[in-house]
Amino acid sequence: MTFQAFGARGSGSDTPLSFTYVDKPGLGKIALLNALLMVLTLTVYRFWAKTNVRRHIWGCVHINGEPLEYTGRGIELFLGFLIVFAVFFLPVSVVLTVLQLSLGPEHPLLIGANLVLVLVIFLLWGMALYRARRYQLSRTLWRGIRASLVGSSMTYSLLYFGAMLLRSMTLGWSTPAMNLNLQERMTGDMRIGSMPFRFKGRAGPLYGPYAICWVVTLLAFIAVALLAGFGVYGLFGDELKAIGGSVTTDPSNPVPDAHRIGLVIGFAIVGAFVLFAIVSSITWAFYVARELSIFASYTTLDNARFRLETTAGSLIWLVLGNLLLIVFTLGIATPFAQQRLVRYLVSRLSADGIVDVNAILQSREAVGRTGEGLADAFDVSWI
Amino acid sequence: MRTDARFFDGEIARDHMAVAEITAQGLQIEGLDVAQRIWSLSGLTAVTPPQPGYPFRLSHESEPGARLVITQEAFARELVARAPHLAGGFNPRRAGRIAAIVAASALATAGVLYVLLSYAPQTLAFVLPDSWRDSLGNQVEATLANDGKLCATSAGNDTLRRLAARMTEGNPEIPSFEVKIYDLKILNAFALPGGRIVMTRKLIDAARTPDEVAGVLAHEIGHVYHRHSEAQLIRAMGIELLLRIASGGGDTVSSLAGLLAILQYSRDAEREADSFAQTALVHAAIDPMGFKRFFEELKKLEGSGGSGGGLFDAMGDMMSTHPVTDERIEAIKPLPEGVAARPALSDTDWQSLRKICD
Repeated sequence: MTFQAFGARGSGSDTPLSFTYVDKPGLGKIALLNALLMVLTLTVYRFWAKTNVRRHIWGCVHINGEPLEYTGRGIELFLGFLIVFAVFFLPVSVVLTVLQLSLGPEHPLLIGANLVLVLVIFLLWGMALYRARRYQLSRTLWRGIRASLVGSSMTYSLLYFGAMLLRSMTLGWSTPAMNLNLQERMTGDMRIGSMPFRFKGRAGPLYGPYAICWVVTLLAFIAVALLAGFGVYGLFGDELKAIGGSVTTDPSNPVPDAHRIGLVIGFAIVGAFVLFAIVSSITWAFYVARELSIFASYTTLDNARFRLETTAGSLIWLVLGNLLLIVFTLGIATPFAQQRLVRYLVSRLSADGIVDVNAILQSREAVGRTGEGLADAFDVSWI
Repeated sequence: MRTDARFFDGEIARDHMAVAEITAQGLQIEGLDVAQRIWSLSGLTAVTPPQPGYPFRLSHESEPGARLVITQEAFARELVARAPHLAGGFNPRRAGRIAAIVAASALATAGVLYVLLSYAPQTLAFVLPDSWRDSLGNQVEATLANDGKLCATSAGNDTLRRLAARMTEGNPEIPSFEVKIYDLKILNAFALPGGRIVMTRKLIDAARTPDEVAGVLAHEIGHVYHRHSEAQLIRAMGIELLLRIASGGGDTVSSLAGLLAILQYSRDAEREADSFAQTALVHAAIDPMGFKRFFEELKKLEGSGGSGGGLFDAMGDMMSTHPVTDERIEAIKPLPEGVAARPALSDTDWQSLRKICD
């Protein structure tokens, strides 16, 4: 009897971690079939479609030579959706319809009810994110060992809501600290089998990149606004003056075309907005790249510390490429966009240090029967 | 046949070297630190389908977390030959079963929804409180009239009031209603929720005698009497809700479907309104032949292609919301013997009605 180890790293108590994305054929078939069935079922198939894509992509992510395994089922997502619909959206729709019928569309009580609904949705947003993550982890296996998320979605939800409020009150300056808090809670609640992930670090290093991006965004806003203003003024300065004074002395050019000027100003505003959106997206890609990489470096599993090598340029190319991929295929290639994202993260992820694989025991966490109802309803899950 | 394999026991993440062997009892697994076990072939599941060049991963129903990884392709082929269900791919029996389940549940759902949407709204329409009907009517009327001019209402115009009163005399079951003449770009008449009947200036212009206008009015009163528009709105809301369930919140499809559904009554509803009109006209001693002639004119218009152009034009026109069929024209009978026809309006009243929007 001979026992041959084929590339078997990771049997001992001092195993380094390696991450690779191993492509395998079949995603194209999944994408086409999903698109076809989505159309035929008026998108009800989306739960099964999502499951098929995840099963494929999970299976491409290899940790120390062994792939992840996705064990979720479409019916679980479907039931999760039905439950959320029955306990949340159906009653809310009925109440709003009855209020609108009985009071008319502009009654203060109806407006109040709508505001309350918006507030409730904001409050539940974090819960949707957390529960979606919990479902996905509970359906993720590595070497037959299940992952889990062990905390309370309510706590996370409140923290998330608080972070949103604080962000608007501090003009964004609370973002790095609050993102760190949220990440600490989410990562700290994650387990692979019995082994917890840990997250520890300060928000300080995030503030340098944040301050730079914040100031650049402000300057970009001012510059774009001035550009648009001067552009319009340069083209129509005289005519605008004529409107302002509402007197014209030149009989050959009596009435300035107010309608045409209004149109041009409209275009200038839209153009300025688009320009600003592009500039600020590029700017913030620098911050996001730094944040991702700093958060990874704050994360440990046993004695291994993670490292994620992100750059703003590669991140922009990733997002832009995915956008084009989805738009130009009318969404059919969405699974490939999701694959690009996962491949990007996995291929840039590494870990320093070692993990005691013998200490990773099977998870004893209870496994929920349904998943992601809220996340589907709010459309927050990215894969 | 045997091969070296990698084994995970599902309890600890570390891997074990093992030897796998196909025996008469099943797949036997054994290693230095792996206790001997035999996995029955029928209980095996392929975690990843067998693909040349990729390791073959197996699990077994008896040990949910345990995984066996086989890299020797000849062994994997042999195993799949013994347990064909591992090959994955297209399974006609399974696909057939799923298709049958999906088709049956789709049919059942469609059946239940059809019955629900056909009968429930009509019942609900009669229990709707008057204030809700009124509020609904306000919203629909505002959308319909847009910025069209309101020429006259039966509340303020004596001619309209008398004509309406004559048609409803002696029938206390008819809910209160109001007739409104609007100057819109379309030729049509609508019964809206909350007992509002909207007729357009073009309709009055198109009518050659007051009897024709009276016939159309009687038909719309029929819709009010049967609460058709309330039922239709409830139905549209139901359809919108269903589409939202299906699509998870798609708005474009649902609102378009809703608009179409509101404006278009079913044939049954049209028949009910026609039959009401026949009775009401006879009761008021107005000759139903005017109504019949109006329908025949509309039918001719339809034959010649109508107004043409644009989805909204087509929907806004009388033909699309009140499709006139030969059957409907046939159903309109003259006054019974012994009932002497009285004109719907006097000449003076008719002239004033024709100038109502000037």
